[in-house]
Amino acid sequence: MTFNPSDLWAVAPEMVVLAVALAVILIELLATRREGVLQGVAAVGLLAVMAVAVWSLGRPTGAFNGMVARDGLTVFVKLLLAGVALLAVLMSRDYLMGLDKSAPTGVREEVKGNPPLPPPAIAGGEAGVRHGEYYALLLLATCGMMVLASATNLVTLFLGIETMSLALYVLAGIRPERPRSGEAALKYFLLGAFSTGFLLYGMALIYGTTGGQTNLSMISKAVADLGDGAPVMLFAGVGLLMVGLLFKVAAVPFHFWSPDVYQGAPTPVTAFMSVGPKAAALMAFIRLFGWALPDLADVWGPALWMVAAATMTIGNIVAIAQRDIKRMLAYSSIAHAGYLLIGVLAAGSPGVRSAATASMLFYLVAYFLMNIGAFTIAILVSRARPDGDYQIDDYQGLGASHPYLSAAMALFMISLAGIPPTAGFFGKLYLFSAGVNAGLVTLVVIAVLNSVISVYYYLRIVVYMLMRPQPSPVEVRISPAMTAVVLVCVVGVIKFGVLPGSMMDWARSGAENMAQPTPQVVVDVNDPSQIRQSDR
Amino acid sequence: MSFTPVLIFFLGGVGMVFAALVVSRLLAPHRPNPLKNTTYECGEEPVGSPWLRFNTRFYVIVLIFLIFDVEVLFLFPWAVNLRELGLFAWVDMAIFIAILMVGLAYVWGKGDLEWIRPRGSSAGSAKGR
Repeated sequence: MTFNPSDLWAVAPEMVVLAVALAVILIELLATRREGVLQGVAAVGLLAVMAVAVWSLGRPTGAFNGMVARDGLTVFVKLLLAGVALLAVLMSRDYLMGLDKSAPTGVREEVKGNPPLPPPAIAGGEAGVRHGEYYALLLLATCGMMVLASATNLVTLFLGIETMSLALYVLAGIRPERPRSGEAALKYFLLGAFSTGFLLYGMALIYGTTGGQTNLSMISKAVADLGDGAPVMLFAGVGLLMVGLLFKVAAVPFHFWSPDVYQGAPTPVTAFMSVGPKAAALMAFIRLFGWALPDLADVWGPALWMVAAATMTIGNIVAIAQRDIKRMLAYSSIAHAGYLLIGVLAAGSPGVRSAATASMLFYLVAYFLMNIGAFTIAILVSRARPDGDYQIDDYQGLGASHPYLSAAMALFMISLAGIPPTAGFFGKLYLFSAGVNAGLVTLVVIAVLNSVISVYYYLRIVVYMLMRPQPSPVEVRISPAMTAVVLVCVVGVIKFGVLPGSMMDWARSGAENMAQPTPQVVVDVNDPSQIRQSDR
Repeated sequence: MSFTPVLIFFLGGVGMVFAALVVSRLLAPHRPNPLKNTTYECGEEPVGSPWLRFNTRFYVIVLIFLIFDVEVLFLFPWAVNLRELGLFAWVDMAIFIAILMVGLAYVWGKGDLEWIRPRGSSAGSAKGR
């Protein structure tokens, strides 16, 4: 097992993200007057990541003995993830600065009967968030997602999931002065740790039943060799693995954490969390189920079918009842995860595999733009309130006082509902047609019915903005960075809604330029002499 | 199957624990008195309930300790095989340690290693002078 320096290209984007994260930590430590510098370094660093990702594109191949893939699909997803992180970074500084101003000064409770404690590490006098930590965690989460999206081995898959999740647990609870933020972090952490248990158990069962394989294509081969004689243990392993991944994409019935976490986490983190982990975990899904285990499609297919149907239906129906825009968007994101699972299911039938993957990529791009845009406007509107709350009622009459802002919000809502001429429409069109081509007609009908339900609660915001009188005047202050984020999202949503061809071509070439590498050195666990050699 | 030794080892390990408990139960004299039944606190007389709130600082220190403990765990196999692994492994480990050093420098610089932190220093850094 020799080291090949060109392997480093496969993880070049990850290495740059990591370097930027370390630089951000050091700047936080050494520099004064650092908020703007930190944001600038993080943003420029992410642009560099995108450049490196494009540069690393080449012939589809694997790296590190089949641990990660280096192909068009990973480059596409890495660009998407870097884009999500970039917009999250751009909207974060204003949000964090707003916190620093409004944060309460230290309130410390003395506990009776105990000797007085030294000042606690995080609570109390230290209100506000260290910006460097925040950006560093955001970048590390991005790094984990990139590893997850390019993993072609169960070990790297697990590594990516954990790197991503650990950073996100901390990010969800990064506002120690707010109990709800702590609740979000604790819930996310406990349930996330639990789901990791499922994931690992599933991996262990697959490892055991395939004769000690962790590489995805070797697993695929082993499953094909087993044929009809595949043991039930293998199916159990696949099921448990599916549970672990479905938790990360917040699919019903593993979605309970998501509304509370989305509501409690700082809003830029919520925006980041609603797109990034989903995109990364779905790519892992595609590689694992679409490419490695299509032979078992009649085992995982029906289960995933029901999960997809339940996810979109429950997500959409519960979203109707929400009065808090962050919770509404949380349920809407559950529903969108349900639509996206159609793509995974369609990828299980070999004929439409590439087309299904491409349509998922396009949908993720569209969802990224419209969702980040909606969250950005939610931040702006909530900051106009003295208590910084996120009620849907705040949007009443916004159209009269802030026409441009309302127009942008209306565009995002229309796109989320999937009405032309927006990116959301073409996303659904491609995704659903891939589903129909794969013979999932019933599921697509359910999805279309769900889109109709979703129109109600998305358009309610538009109706509030345009047709209701304003209860009290609100003053929304918009900074240049926020304007930039909203503009990028608006232009993207319109561009891919009117001329989707170019993005779809990229998605298609990304999906077709796909590697499922096998290890060059296969270690046979039954042969002790071989283990010794590979150890050396 | 090659995992049979692992299973035997595991069962043996579990068995040893129970064997020790059972043997101690059978052989040891059993004469309790009130003083013997108190909680052991290094010879001090226990005061109050042990169910009190511990300072979170312990937790932070333990976490930092754990990180460097695990680092040493990684260093051992690397150090044993360094001669055969060559320069590449050396660079690898240097990067790994450098990343951890950034973390150490950060907690050190932010005063998280001080047991009693000077008041105001951190509040100032959070606002960003």
